[in-house]
Amino acid sequence: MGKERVAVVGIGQTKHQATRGDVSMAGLVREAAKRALDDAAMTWADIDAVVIGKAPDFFEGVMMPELFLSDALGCTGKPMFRVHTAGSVGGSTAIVAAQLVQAGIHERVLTVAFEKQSESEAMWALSLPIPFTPPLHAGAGGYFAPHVRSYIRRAKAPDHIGMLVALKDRQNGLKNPYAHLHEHDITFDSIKDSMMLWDPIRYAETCPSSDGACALVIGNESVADAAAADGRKPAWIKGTAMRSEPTLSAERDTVIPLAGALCAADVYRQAGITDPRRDVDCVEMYVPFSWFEPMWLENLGFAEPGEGWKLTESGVTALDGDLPVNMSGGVLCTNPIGASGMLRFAEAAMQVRGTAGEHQVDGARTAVGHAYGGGSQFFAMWVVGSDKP
Amino acid sequence: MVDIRLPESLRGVEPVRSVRTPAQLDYEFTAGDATSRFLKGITEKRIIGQRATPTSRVYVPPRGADPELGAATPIEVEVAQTGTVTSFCVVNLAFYGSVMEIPYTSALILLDGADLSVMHLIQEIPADQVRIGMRVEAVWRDDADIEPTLESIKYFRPNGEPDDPNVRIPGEGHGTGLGSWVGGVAPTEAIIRNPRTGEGGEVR
Amino acid sequence: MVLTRQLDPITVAPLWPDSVSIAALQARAMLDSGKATEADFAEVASRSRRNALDNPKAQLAWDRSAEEVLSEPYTVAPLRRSDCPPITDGAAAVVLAAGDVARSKVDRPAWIRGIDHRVEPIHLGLRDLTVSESTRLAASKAGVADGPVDVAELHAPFSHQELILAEALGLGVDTRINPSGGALAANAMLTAGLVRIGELADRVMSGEARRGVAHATSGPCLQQNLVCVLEGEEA
Repeated sequence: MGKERVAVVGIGQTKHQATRGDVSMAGLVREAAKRALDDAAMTWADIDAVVIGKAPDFFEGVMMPELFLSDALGCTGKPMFRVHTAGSVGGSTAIVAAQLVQAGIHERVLTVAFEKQSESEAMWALSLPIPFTPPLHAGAGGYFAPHVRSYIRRAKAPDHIGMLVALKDRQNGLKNPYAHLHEHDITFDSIKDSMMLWDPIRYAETCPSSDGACALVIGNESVADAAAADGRKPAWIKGTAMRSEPTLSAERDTVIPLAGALCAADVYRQAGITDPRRDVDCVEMYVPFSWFEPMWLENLGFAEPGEGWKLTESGVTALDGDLPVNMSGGVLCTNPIGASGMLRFAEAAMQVRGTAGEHQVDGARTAVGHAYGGGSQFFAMWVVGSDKP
Repeated sequence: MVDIRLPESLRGVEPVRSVRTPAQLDYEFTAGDATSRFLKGITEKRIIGQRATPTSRVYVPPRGADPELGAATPIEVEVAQTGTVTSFCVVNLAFYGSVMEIPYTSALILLDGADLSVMHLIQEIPADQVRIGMRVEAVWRDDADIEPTLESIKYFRPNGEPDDPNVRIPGEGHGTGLGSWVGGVAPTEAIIRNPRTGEGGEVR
Repeated sequence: MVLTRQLDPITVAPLWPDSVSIAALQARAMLDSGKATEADFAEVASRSRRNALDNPKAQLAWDRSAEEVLSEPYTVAPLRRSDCPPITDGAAAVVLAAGDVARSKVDRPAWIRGIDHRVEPIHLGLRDLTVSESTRLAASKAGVADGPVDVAELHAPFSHQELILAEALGLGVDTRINPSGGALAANAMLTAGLVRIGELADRVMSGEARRGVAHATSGPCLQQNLVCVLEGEEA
């Protein structure tokens, strides 16, 4: 299959916080989009198509909000559509945008993902009564806590791993001016002493609820070459993959899901990665609850079964480690759900462009962005590199 | 916060920063054939699952199809009202809309004879004593209060049997978990059953 | 009510305009502009339900004249009940395949020769509601005018919208519009557009049509529109 070479040539994000009361939903997405356009040295008129992503409409109470946001995003007369794959949507949306360019349909696509959780009550929206079943659901934490417990048992992981991840990500977040949480006083003990919300998940091991948006401009080879010639380094997209699996399958492994591994294997194959632990310089993965770092390290082929937590414990995943994970502070610092996946993809691109500021990994040439969503049933990944494929 | 500037005539009027739009809708869900049969069983205090073939997985509650085989599940199977806890969570958090009294323990319970865990409440045991492998039994509402909903089972409680140390955790049947890389090699679709032929499902 | 939540959440949705009233604003604009009459609307309503008599999957099919439709009271003036779609449960699925795979599966694949979609502002005041600029643009990109159009399946939930779409697509008298009955015969809203593509594909695959256009819409008063050109291969 002939695919055009494509690259990220513009990245923008909002300052994320619990309540962005200063902007409407339209203002929020426009803030991120404008920054991405500025970064790409483009105007709205340069954009051929717009792809919008967000998580469930219940979060803000606007059905299909892409319709009303199309005005703010300069979509008039252009193709615009919306992607929805729950929490992984930010990643899936970027992939759809990239594929529109890879397929040669468009030259420059703007893709935007957002969530304005403060407009309503996301935990309630995620725990709507399911017909004919007991009202036991307690948000995403209540759903994922049993999976985390299974992992701890299966991997024989010590209790402090989750706290180490939380500490690392929150400290990384201090270096990221856009991050929602800037917890300067956080310590291992403050995490340990925080309330056990969904045993075994503590409050401090849980992502916040954020307002925020992220935007990318994706261009074809000539657009990216022009950017490079102009001194604006592109992040070349070396592979994209999505996989899904049914939530209610007897065979399903909720701890280390098959679809996640298949997604990783596919994206590595496209990018020519044969040994992810060796070939990848840094990873932004979707870790809304701290324990998902070791779980995904195993699921994405960075560690053997039961060994993921050892990478965390030995500091391999620290910002100055051998395989830095969640340099931006990750979902644990910033979680505008619909945008969270795209923020992972954007951070990977920033790393290989060398524009990650204080959370830059020295010499990062190959980076992985990862997102998952729903009941661990949707996976989206991309590999970006500093060199043209 | 951006300063909102009002015209002179509106001086003294509090600036509008948000609008509140309550919305309410009632839904009536159609249960469909498989769930209807399941719920009818519940009204008789029986737990009915379905399977595609005499040897394929038993799904409880049934959805009418086996997602691995991509096949309809016409065969009804009554499963036991006892089972094993495969994992659980102790919820200490109250939130808007929640009707549960905290703390409560929600558990994934693999009923004897079923191949998919159901989520339900565990009671009659302190939360910190619940464990994976614990044997439990269903406790029903009073007969007069039985309705076609899983809530007709009030909760599950320990049934006194010793723990099952070998409880089958879905997906772990493949040794290390379905999505694990072993020796640096990714799993492939071959380890799940082929939806057309039923082949595959190899154990590594 | 859910469709009301689709409108601008700050200035429009709190007024709770319902979807029929929003469509009626557009119908009124058609009348005021002199582009159509209520009799024209009734003609569309009558023909669509009559066509649906031949569609076993249609929800609403009957044989009543335009005059009979005109004798109905207004639901939301100037729209009558027959100018509006039924409320429908439904689903649709379409299988896509490329090249030789398509040829190996069916004798006469319905080839997608062009497909494009465009969006307009959601605010009704920013648009001329009597035309569909996004449909015209999408039709141009999809190459509708590159050949004769035997059949058009248009996602026009309200009768007046068929007139707007036919003009935007540049359809002439030789084109048969909505032989399935269209969205006026069954409107499972967000799947009704895919149904249009499926209905047209069926007619192309059977050889009944050589080339045709399918259309889908979303948003208030035809805000967003997709145009798909399907063509069969000559034997």
